[in-house]
Amino acid sequence: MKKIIISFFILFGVCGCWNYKELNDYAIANGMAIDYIDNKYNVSFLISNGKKIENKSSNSQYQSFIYSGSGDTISDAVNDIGLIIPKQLYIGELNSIVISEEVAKNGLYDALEYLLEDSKSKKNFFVVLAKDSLAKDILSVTTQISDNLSESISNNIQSSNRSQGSIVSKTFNDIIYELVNDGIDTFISSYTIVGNKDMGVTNDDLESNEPKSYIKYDNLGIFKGDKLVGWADSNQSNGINIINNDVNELYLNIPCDDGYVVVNTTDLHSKKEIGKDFVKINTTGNAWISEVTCSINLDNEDNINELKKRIDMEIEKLINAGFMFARENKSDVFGFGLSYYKNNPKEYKSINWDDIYSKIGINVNVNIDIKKSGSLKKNIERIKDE
Amino acid sequence: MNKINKSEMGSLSFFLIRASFIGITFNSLINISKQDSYISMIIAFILGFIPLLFIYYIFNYEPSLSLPKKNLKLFGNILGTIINIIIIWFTFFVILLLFSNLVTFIHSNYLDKTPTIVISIVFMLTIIYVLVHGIKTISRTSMILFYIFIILFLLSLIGLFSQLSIDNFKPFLESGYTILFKGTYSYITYNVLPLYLLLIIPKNDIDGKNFFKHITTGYIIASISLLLVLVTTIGIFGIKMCELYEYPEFQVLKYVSLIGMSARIDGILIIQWIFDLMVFMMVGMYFILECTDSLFEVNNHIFSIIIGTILIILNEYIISNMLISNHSINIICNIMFISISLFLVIMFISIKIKNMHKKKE
Repeated sequence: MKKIIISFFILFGVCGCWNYKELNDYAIANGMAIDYIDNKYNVSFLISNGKKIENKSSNSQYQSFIYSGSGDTISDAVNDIGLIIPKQLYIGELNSIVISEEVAKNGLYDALEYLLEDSKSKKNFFVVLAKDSLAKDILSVTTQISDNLSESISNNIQSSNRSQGSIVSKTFNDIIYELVNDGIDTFISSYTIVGNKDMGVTNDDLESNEPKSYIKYDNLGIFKGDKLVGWADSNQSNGINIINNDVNELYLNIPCDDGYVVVNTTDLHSKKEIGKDFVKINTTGNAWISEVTCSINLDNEDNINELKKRIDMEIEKLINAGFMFARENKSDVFGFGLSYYKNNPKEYKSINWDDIYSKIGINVNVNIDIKKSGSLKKNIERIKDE
Repeated sequence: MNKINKSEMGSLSFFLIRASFIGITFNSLINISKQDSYISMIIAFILGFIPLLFIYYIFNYEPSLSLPKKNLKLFGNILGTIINIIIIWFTFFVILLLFSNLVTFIHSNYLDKTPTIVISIVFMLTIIYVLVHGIKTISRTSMILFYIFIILFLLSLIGLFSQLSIDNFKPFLESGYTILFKGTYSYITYNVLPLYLLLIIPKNDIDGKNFFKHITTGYIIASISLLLVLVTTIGIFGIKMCELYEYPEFQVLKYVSLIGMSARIDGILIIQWIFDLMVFMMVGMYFILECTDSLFEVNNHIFSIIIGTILIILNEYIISNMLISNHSINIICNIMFISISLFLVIMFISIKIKNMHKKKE
């Protein structure tokens, strides 16, 4: 009898009945947007398990909804949403969060503290900035390729980071790492809305072949401490990512005569030597010719050597542009200070790294190997001329 | 009575060593030794053989008796009883600390909507259920849990190891050598000295002569596993993020990726820490029951329920209201280190003197 009573207690206790909830009882948030409007945080969640929509096909889909709330703190704003949503909010499945420019300029600490404290959040979701639009609007734009924008953002970040030099995929924990460590500042990719912002909110846009509005990657936002201090342009973004070894592929247009040689640089790797007066950057990599729109003879070794020189110079220019931009904004997005501290901890403590960084010089050395001239021996123009 | 097998003794020592790591030793180590914590652990591992030898020596004294009876025989009825009562109170305090750690961890990370008292009752019922079946059942349970642990641990390690960065361990020896020894102190206190709980099992109840080899093996495997946890967590998070999170060794499990994909199995992998705390609770409570039984001859079954209830009530109404800060952890560490070390040294010297007298006679 005793065993039965004990087993009964253990059975009901261990199965977790107390905390038991059906999946349908939760409003599962896939995306989150944080805005700062009228001195209040405005938080929006993209809820991915709304009501079911019956399609013409046998498959039915869940509709996504956006719920917003506002308050003095993020917790206040989330509680405000709790008054609207009929289900319990669950943020354990967040794919990405979008932070507005205003929030980023005010400082990330207050905005990220809520997610850091919450034990349910996985902390490996992607973080992006909203440029020239509200974060909520970015989350509201429906896409034609994916039903869920938040998922689309996270997929896009992962795929684009491999092929676009100006994009960087940063997870929540990556950003926290850069915020809590001295001698390193963070930088985050941004999204902007192209076209009619309002059209993106409706599903009518999905019916047309050409979307009237869509979201597009913009450049990097760079931070000093937890505050956004500037937007890098495309070249500067590429340069910053090359120095940080965040570029897998980068397409370069090298001018030649009346056209261009387009090369795809891969395996870019930058080795850094950090001193108190200057930083030495040695970048190596491979270049693959992917398009030729001029009459250059690529069988000629001199031409290949000349092309290599130009590729090296082009990459050097990008690196210099990225470095100068970050230095002007006093943002150590390269983590030079942290590297210096790790190798010279006693000296680091006796100096003011910010002062040194604002005067630090750069010595760039690029060495790219041209691996293969694409799949053609000659381009169409040259064959015709001959 | 079924004798405890050597491997089971090894698994018991394994879990006793690991139990205090999550939430206690890990935080204490990184607060003191920072990124050099792994050096502190290696030194502590080597120094840990000293208390291990003391325990071995005490095991060999009167092999048919458990620790409280050894005390009575060694120190006489009055002094022996006083020492036993002090040990009982002390052990009770240690298991209360770990029980509170277990309940807080589960409540804050998983069952945040469940009242802590329900979590306490569920775990306590399970512990008491195993406890009433005696030490043989406890040791068999720990053996089974050990096999499950190995699978979970290897999965975690494979999924995390590739992500660690050596840079996160720099700068080396930034705070000097003395700090390293301070870190050593907390590891020995919380993770090596609790092995004294094994002394509750008389040597004659253990099957095989070389059981101490298995305890040592358990000690080595547990220390290596904890070292790997420490290295992986600091290597992935860096020291600042380790200081930021309450349970960094749990947070890091969210990074586990198998074959390049995020596995999202942190909920399963974390069970390994719960095993550690559960086995510790079982052995600790068994220790108290046996000690009280040898002193006051009380009914173990009823007394286990009474202790369990007291632990739940104390945890619910006293410990959970206290803020377990680094400062209080350090104070507890000092008390624990002095008490257990003193007790082991006194016992060791007393046995040595007694043996010398015997030889002379």
